[in-house]
Amino acid sequence: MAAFLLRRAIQGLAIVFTVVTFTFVLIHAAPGEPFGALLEDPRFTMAMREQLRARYGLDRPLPEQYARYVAKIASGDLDISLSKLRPVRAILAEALPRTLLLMSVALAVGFALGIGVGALQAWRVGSRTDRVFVRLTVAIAAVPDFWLALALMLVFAVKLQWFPVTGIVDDAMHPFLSPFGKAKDVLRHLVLPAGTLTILVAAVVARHQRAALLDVLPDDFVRTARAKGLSERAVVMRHALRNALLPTITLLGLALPSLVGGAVFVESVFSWPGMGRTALDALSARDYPVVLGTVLVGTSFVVVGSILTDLLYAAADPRMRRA
Amino acid sequence: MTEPLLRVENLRTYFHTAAGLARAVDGVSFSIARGETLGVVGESGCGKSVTALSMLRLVQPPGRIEPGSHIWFEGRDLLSASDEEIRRVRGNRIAMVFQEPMTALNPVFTVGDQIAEVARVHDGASRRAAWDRAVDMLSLVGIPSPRDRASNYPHQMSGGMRQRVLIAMALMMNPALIIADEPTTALDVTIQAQILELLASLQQKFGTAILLITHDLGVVAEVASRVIVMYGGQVVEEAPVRSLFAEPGHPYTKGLMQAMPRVGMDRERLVTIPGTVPPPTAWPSGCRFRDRCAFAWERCEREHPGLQSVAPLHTARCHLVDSGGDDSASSGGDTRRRGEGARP
Amino acid sequence: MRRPIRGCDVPSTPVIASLSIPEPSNAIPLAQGTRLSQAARALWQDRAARTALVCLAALVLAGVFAPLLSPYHPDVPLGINTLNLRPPSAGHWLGTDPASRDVLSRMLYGTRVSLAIALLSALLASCMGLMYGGVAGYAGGALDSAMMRAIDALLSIPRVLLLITVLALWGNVSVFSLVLVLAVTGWFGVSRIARAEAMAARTREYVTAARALGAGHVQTFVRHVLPHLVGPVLVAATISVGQVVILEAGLSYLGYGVPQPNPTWGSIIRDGRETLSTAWWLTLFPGIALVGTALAVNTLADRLRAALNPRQLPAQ
Repeated sequence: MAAFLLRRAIQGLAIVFTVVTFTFVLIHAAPGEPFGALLEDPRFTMAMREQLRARYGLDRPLPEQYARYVAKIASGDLDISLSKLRPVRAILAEALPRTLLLMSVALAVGFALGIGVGALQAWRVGSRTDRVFVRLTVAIAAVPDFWLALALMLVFAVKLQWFPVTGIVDDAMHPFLSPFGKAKDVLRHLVLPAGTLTILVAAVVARHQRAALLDVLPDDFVRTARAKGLSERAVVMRHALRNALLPTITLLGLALPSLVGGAVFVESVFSWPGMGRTALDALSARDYPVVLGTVLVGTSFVVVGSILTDLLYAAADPRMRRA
Repeated sequence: MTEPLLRVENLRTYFHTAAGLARAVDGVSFSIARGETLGVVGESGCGKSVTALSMLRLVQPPGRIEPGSHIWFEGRDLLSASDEEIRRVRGNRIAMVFQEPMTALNPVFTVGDQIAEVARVHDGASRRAAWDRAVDMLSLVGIPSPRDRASNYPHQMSGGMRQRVLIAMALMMNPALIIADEPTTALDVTIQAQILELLASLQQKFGTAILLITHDLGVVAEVASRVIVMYGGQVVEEAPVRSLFAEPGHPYTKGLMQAMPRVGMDRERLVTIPGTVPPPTAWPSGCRFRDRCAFAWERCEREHPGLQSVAPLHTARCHLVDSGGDDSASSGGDTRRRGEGARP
Repeated sequence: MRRPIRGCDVPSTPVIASLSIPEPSNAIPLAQGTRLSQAARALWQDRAARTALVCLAALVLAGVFAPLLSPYHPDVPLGINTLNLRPPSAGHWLGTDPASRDVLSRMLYGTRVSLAIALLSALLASCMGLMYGGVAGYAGGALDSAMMRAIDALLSIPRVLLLITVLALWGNVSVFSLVLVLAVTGWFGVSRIARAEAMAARTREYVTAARALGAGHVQTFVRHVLPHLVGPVLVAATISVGQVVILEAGLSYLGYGVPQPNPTWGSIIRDGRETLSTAWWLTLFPGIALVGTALAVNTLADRLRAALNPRQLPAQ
């Protein structure tokens, strides 16, 4: 187990390192002098410019610049935000938990829902329920995330006024609420953005789970379970599903990058101040350090997530544990 | 005469596929007495596995047991029992041991859990009690350090051990009948012998009847007291085991016996039965074996043979055995049998 | 032990836009011409696929003939205040937008832009992925390992964030550069598929035979391996079209896509952002177009995959 973790951690680091290199290449491949815009940017003071020049070694040969760049990131320094004049690290430290909140709710609820629906469909394959859900999941999978967000916002926030329209908290009231009230406030604001992502996740997971379970049902051990006198429900839900969950766990790892991307649009529509919104704001403000920071943080998150997924898979599949 | 434990009457299991109607089991009847071992022999495609599955109504669509079939067991027809009732029989009064120990066990549960499950379902036993019983069973089937082994997963065990686990699972509720579908086919010869010995000793101990399905006549010779031979979805011969080997009545049985390689044989090439099993969607008219039979003649094409008596308790589905009325005289003309082979 | 799911659909929204890795097709290596044309025939016979194709063809035609079909000019405001934000009516079937422009005309011209961008970038991305993955799979060994590790790393970057980075660093966005950017950020998944197929093809006997007969690597690759990659990559490309349409719409909605005043479906929705609750038509119609395109494309991809692998069960 420890060896496995170590190996995956090293692989993860290698990936992050590759991405860091890639961003370096991007920065230097972009038109204009690398960090040229940074240096010419009128928002920077003379002192800051000198600092930057020294730190990046902009008059040094390329390999040295690369080494400095890697060292800088390894030490956790992600530069200063041009538009906010705060360390990028601090900005992202604030934004990341909000995105994590959004995504973990979407993942947890979405997967639970998707697994349940997919399993039900496979069990009752061909029935009316199954056919209805097939159409439904196919349709939902074709809906753009930002559009679904807009639709939900229109119906539930604007027309029905069940939930707030934007933001993470009610800025006016929030400071005066009790801790419990504060939590409730955040939850109220969480429903629609998380709901949008949940619906999209659930639809994809349901289709995947349905196919996975149908794939397992003809297997021999399912027949053995039936021959033991188990109810059909126990055969499908206990024996078959438990095996059919394994591919769904794999899906979890594969879905992470896309989920982060989807969160960007949803955060934008609902003005949820997470990492995606931060990246977009930075884009419009030409705030490269922040943008680059989000890429690195986003990728690291995906890497960590996929390691956790592998662990989960190993926990679920006894055959993997020795490996 | 006491009532047999299991009596199968005119079992027909057809598969309604897009490619046509496959008559996998087409009118099979036999019975098993308490504590007896009945061997079912035949090549793949003869319908023996489907017969086994039909006993417990484990045949999945598009397969269906046709009306007119009956399986009498412990006083009722299993084919007209409710779903609830058949579930109470499965694993409890009749248990099955499947062919591929590799894939017949669920890879994500421990073997102890899978065995104990039988007791939990049928006896309402607690987890603790069921687990203990499972460990006892493992010890009974000859697995060393059963308490440790019970926590193993199937992939951590050898093929022979897995098969023992399947047998332990089948014996948990002390069923009256065990259906063993090719229990040794996937195993090495040495392990095969061990498993057969195990089955025999357990049968002695518990008085369980066994329906043993195999393509291997050698296995049948070792363990069975009575044998039925299947071909083309039907029973083509039924006999006590000695009588079968002493006096095989059906050309197919004879072919199977000749095909068995034996120590001390003085041949260079093995004998085979020519041709292949026809598809169950298109059984030949008349006798289903006629295309591969050295002794077939025109009656075999025209008329489907019934089960004829060869010796006491020994029947065969063959016109050659038909002692009542010499057909060659009544039809006249060219009705001579092809091939030499005087009647056995 | 991780079994890829046969016949499982690949999701198409950017939320879960990952491509699951299918098993390499183990169909008999017929001459490529026959396999593709067989698949095409099977596809045409399938009603769902036919409907999807017809819808897509209709959309493409609507885009191509936009100048002929649209009642008004898409960019010219029709009246500063009198005609803005009109709901659908006889004169304006799909209403007007805040700048008094006819939505139907904008939608038709937008079809051009949205579909062109999607088709071009999907094509470009597929070619890149095909070559990269094909070479990696054919080469095998250390080269393959290194190439695929790079892909693993790139696939870990959330695509939207990568897009934002490139847009931030490069600045100007023209339709052409948008196509390029979308293609360059989207070929990684295709390369994995191509690689899997190439690896499977490489071990087949006809490749060994070709090499034994003296064919060079390039020749072997082009004649014997490449044709087998086309089918699965085509499926991936089809799905990719749907993904890009939605991605481009999202970017345009955010204001970072196609520059104004070029209409695209996403920018029409953007125009309706302020008046979401009152001018519903600005959000609804482009949304229908987007969903419809994605549905058609996904259905087509699913059927195409089934047609190329006759032994696979369809996902339905």
